[in-house]
Amino acid sequence: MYRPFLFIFIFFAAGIIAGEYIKILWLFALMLIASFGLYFFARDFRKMVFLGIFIFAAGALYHSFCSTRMEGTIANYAGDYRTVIGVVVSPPEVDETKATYEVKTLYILQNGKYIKAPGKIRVSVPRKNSMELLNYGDVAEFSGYLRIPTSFQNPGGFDYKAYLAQKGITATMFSREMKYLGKVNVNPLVKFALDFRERIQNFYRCALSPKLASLLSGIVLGLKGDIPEDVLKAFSDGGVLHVLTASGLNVGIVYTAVEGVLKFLKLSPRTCFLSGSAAVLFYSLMAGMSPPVLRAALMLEVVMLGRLIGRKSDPLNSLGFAGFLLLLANSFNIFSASFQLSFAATLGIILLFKPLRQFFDSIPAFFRDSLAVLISAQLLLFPFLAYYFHKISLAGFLLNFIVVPLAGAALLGGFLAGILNFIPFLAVPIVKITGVLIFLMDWVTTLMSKLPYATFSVPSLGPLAVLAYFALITAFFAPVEALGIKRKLNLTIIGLCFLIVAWSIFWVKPGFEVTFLDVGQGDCIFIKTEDGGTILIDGGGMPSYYKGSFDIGKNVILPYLYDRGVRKLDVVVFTHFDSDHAGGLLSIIEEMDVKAVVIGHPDGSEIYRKMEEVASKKKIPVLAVSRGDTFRVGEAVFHVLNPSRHQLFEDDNDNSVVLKMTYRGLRFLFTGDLGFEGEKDVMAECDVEADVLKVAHHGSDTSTSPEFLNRVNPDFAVISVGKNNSFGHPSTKVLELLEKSKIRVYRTDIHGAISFKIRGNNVRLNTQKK
Amino acid sequence: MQGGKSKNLSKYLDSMMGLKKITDLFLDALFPERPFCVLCGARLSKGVHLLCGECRDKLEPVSPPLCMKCGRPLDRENTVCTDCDGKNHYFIEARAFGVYRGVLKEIIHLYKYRRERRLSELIGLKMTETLQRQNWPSFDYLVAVPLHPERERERGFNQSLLLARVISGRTGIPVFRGLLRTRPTEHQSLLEKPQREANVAGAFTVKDGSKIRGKTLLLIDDVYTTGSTAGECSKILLEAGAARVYVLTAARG
Repeated sequence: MYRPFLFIFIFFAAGIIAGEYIKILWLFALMLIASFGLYFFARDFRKMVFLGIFIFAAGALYHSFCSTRMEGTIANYAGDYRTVIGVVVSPPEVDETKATYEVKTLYILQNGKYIKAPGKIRVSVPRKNSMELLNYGDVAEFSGYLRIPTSFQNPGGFDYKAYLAQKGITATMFSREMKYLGKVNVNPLVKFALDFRERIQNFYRCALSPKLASLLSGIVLGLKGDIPEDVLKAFSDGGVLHVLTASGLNVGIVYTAVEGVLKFLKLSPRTCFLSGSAAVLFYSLMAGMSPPVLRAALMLEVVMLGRLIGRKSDPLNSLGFAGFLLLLANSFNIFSASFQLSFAATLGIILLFKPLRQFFDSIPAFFRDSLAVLISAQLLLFPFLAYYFHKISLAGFLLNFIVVPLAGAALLGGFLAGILNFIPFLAVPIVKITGVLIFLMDWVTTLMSKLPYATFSVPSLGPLAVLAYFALITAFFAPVEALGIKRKLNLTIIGLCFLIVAWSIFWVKPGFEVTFLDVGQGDCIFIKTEDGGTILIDGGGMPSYYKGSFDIGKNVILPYLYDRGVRKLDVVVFTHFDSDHAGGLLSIIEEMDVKAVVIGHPDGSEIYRKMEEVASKKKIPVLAVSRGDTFRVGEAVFHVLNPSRHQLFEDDNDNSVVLKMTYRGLRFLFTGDLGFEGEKDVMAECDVEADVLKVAHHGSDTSTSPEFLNRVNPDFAVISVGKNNSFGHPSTKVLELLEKSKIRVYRTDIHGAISFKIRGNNVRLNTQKK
Repeated sequence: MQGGKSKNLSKYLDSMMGLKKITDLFLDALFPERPFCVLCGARLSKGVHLLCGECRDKLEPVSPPLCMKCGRPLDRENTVCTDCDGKNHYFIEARAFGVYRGVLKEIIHLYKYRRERRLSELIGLKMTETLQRQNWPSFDYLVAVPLHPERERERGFNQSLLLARVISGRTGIPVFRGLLRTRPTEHQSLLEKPQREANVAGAFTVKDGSKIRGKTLLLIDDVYTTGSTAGECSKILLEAGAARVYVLTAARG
């Protein structure tokens, strides 16, 4: 191990990860002391082992230190309407309706007095016409409901709370009232960098259309905040999202430009180095000090320092150095997606570029090198892409050859125009030409990302598959001699690992499964039959007054389905068209290969209209069902109990599609939002008895009458409900009734996703949260 | 007062030494030495740096008999070569560590053109050994053949100066830095023999000449081919008042 920083980084990172999951501080302290002592008595290899353990323990302890330091006390006040005073520490993220800031809190109003409450929160402020935006360093008083961020607890889901925790944010607030108080002294360099960035971005916006300007900001500064969702998705599906991330090329250009000018002026190498470094630091500040930028900047600095003092850097060691510093700055970085993706891609290029280039020896040089870079990065990124995006881009293998050169040229143009922005007659033509390049780039990306088979969905790999995957890469690329094993054994390992990985990607777990997903306030039930049939009943959704970009279907349900390896849905059921049942389904039927949509009674709602639009566009048959109808998917038989064929209730909830599903004698009753009236009607005409009841209308006191419950007579009841919802669901009346009837109750707000797995005569119940 | 001050100063110097150690440790960690031979890539055993034993064995020291003047290998003892016969060299004697071919040529290329600076240690050590075998008077100064500032910036260092520093570190002879190149010249290696002398003629000058008045100097360079560079430098140094100039190079072309 002759790369000290790589060694330190690996053990330190491992320590941090261990420290996150094992909170036994004295154990790590003991390890630290013991390994320190033993280090002096050991020699050679053992010395390294103890050093490794020492760094590992230090990492774990450092992480616990970071956690406590970052947490502060502000989160203790969550769950109520609060007034806080804080400093804005980020530039605003702006959309049509609101501006969002990261705020370092100072004080909180408690019983008429301001008391200290340090911490970091994310504050959204609705935008009114005349309102000035706050900026870095502004102090303001915010009033609003302070809440702990919620995550949706589904397998394979994105953990929003953990994401914010990485940035040290422990609570969020929607502040309808805001009072500007003044400014604090801020780091003038940071302030200048952020102002300059604002200036450049404004210049782009003036010269180009909003979409092209936002893409240029992404290319030049790695800022993706303004880029429209569908464009981001196209770039992601096209496998070219990386051109919208600031990285090695960007800092390289900054450094080389400054150094080149100063060299031309015949300044000393030391001055050139220091000025180039200052420019890189300034650029990193502009780019928001994100992990990819810092990684690239640090690695570049090492190379350049080496050139100055006449020493050679080692890329792997420099990568370890950058990683170690980033973890010292914030140990939570190791859990951040951008950190992981950036380091994995770089590691891939460092390790695999050369062998791959040899492998593609027969291809012309330009394509060979680009292809080798692309594949070397992709190979190490694969498990991370599977985990975070649940799909890999096949289009990327072609698209990169077009988009990367375009983006490179646009990057140069964007830089030049940005620096010259105060000389409009020079900068405007440059930015216009750049705009054309970006337009082409966007056009070809959108086009190709929509091609069939542009992406291939992969479930996230389990721990065994990840191990097998990396073993596969090692065995494939490392020279056989270096591994010290025989060729035959090596081939066996390659074959074996390949099988494990392929198996975990393509193998769909056998067995019948009913899963109640956590979609907050709303319903969503996913059923997978033994032979791979798939049914989705409802899909949650944000309330209709919500104007943000968050979409339950896209952000919660799709990731879950992709993670499960689901590539098509046989039946999607809209029980009715309330937003908390149907809202999230729109993006599902848009995104996924859906064979049929089942609805009850059509209504005039906006969601119904949109559903019809998508269905007709994608030629999905829409089947209206009513009492007496049955359908089967695989071995599961669905009896439609509601709505009745002839009579409609005034309340749309009573017209919900009610399904009774039977599989091997096991009966599930899915009730939608059925109310008392509907219950009476269903009871009178159908056999409602079931083993598992989805309690109607999230446990509202307008459903689940004692008679109905008595007739269903379930062993299990599932309530799909959001935490702290404003409706007061579920009602205590219903809860008491269920308890009195000795029914085991599971709730998505408490247990997260709840799934019933049936294999043979075995039923196993799993909950995401224990 | 005075005593207090000097104590403070020595404390300060001590802490600087500590700082230097820490900086060195940090730089060694940041720029780790690859445990592979720079030439053949074989893994180096512990305590061996840069060049593996096998490649080291392939270095060819210049073996006598030599031209008494310029150090070129000859067939007979106690004579001068055809080049030196009848020619008046400004320096007294020139000697080199090795023959400019094979491994030595390759590592000098790595050193000069691929900027493998740490090779100066290895080459400088070999040159020191050569120096110590000579029956030469003791030297007052080492003088490195200078590069034009432009070229030095391009390369990042002066290869001869680094070698001189290594030899200075091992022998204690100080380095004189007053020899300067005032005119950028073509690479000698690109020129034919007759043009070389013209190329370097008048390219050098001496600053602080008083320092070397009446002194014995050792001129240090990486490669001696026709001796034009060494000759021109010696001439300028003698003109500036030096008593005698000897020449030591890493390789003999």
